[in-house]
Amino acid sequence: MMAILGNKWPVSRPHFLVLSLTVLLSHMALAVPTSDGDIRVVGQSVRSVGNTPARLDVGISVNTKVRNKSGTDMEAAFRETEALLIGQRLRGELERNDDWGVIRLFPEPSVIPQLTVKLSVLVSDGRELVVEAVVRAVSGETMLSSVYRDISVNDDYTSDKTDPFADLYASMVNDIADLVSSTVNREAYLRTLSLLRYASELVPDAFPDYLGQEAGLYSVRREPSREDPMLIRLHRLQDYELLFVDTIDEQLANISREVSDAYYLWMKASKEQLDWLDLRRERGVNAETLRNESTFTRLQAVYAAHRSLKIHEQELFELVLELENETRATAVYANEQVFKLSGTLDQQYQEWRATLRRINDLESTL
Amino acid sequence: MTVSTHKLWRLLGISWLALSLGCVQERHTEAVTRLATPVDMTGHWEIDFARSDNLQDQLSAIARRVQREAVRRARLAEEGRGYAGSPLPGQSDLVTLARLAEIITEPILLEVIQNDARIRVKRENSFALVCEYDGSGLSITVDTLGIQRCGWDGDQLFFVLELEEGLDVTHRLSRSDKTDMLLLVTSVETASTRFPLVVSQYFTSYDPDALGYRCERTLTRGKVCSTRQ
Repeated sequence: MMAILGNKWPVSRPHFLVLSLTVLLSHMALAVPTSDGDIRVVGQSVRSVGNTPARLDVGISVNTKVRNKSGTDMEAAFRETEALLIGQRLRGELERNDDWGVIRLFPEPSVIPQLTVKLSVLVSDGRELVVEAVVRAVSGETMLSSVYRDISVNDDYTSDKTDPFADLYASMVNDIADLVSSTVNREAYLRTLSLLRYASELVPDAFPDYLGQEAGLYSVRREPSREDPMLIRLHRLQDYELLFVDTIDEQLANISREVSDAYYLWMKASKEQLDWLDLRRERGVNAETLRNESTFTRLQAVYAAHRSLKIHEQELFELVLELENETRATAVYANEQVFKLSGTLDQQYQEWRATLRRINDLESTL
Repeated sequence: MTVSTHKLWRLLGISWLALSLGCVQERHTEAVTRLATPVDMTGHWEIDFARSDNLQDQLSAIARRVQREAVRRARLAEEGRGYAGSPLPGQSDLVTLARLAEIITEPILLEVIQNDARIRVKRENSFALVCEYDGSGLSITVDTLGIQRCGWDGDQLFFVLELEEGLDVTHRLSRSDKTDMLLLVTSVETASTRFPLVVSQYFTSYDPDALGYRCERTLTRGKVCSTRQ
């Protein structure tokens, strides 16, 4: 496997122009992921080597921008699940290093962890994986914004079913670790900031003057007292929120286990088909080869290739649909009650946050 | 019979879409002509060999058609009237067609899973024919190797698959009202033989649990059998 990193811009503060460039460049990356420009070849067999002096909690959120080629709902559902698998994969790579704090996969970017990694899957076809990664501190500072591209080779698909795109995750983790190592250790400060931001999202009038905000960057103006009852309640609500995230996380781990074999076979079949198509195009130039190949052989090969990919694709899609139906309901035990949540992951997360607000409202009037 | 304005517009829309697609892609000549009236095809189906077409017979029939066409063209030529049609398929072309049709019509067991938005025709040892529909009549999916069009043409479910190298496969499924049967008509056509080979296969309903166990083959789990009540 060969990982290629497309550095779009160095560490920078959020700015409208930068934001516009982000959108523009992410579209460019989607359309022409192989563009020469500022792409850097990271190399093969990359290993996670980074050390992180600060035990920061990391929150990973992931979405998919992969084009739905078939246009079907089944493929859309599969791409959503694939994004979660990729998020899980990055989490696994980060967890290889014990220096991090807690690493969680969040349904959407959260202010609870001190560091968030937002992934956008741009291309994934078994032969190529292109992922955009934006790493931000809870202060709002963008620490990294890059497009990673990894190309698999036949040797990557081995009998032990190791990830053919392991280099991409290793490169990403190394870059994140390098960045965190090179900045001043502000763990305690970032944890306070995280709690204040969480408070401002869930209960905006809890600590109105404690949090500073300027040009998209957040800072701690005052620290609340450790004995403040509101702070204690917020800690508890935050724990409830994390309880939901961890419950979902368990479900995702199950999905990952159930789907991983089928996903691996699909990636392999997809790569084989793409390679076969390329080979055919190359051979198409050679008239002699075409003459030597009978019509039946060519047509049969076309049908067989189509059938093979469809069979792999459909088994995976069906599995994803089955799992999606199974995981549509979540039960969370919190505040001496069992809460049942339903709908998509995002809907459940929103529902749970609304429940937390209601708990806060009830308790604050007591 | 009165047709509501909504239905009329929908019919016009479908016709326009079918016409547009026909202009863009000449290979596809089949147009949706009737309003979608989906029927329930859910269940397990096994082939009825006695009623279904024999591939050898179909090959002989198409060979006779080609022969008749050759005689007609020869006669036109003798009369001094030229013919501007495509060249007739040779023997090897027809054998190719038959061998492909044999592969394509190989599945003898079907399982149809259907709801308001999607129908899946799972075929033993082959890929499932999947169609998602929103009521507009025609659904198009583009794959690396070709294009699939599908939808309901009246009470018939159709799939038109246009693959690379000029291989066209059409499946039409219909359910008989009187007898509990499913008819699958498959048409296979290649760029060198614009004479489609059509194979009709009849399927009868069966209960997979009647044996007391059910087996399912998947890529990741292999063949898994389980007892069911």
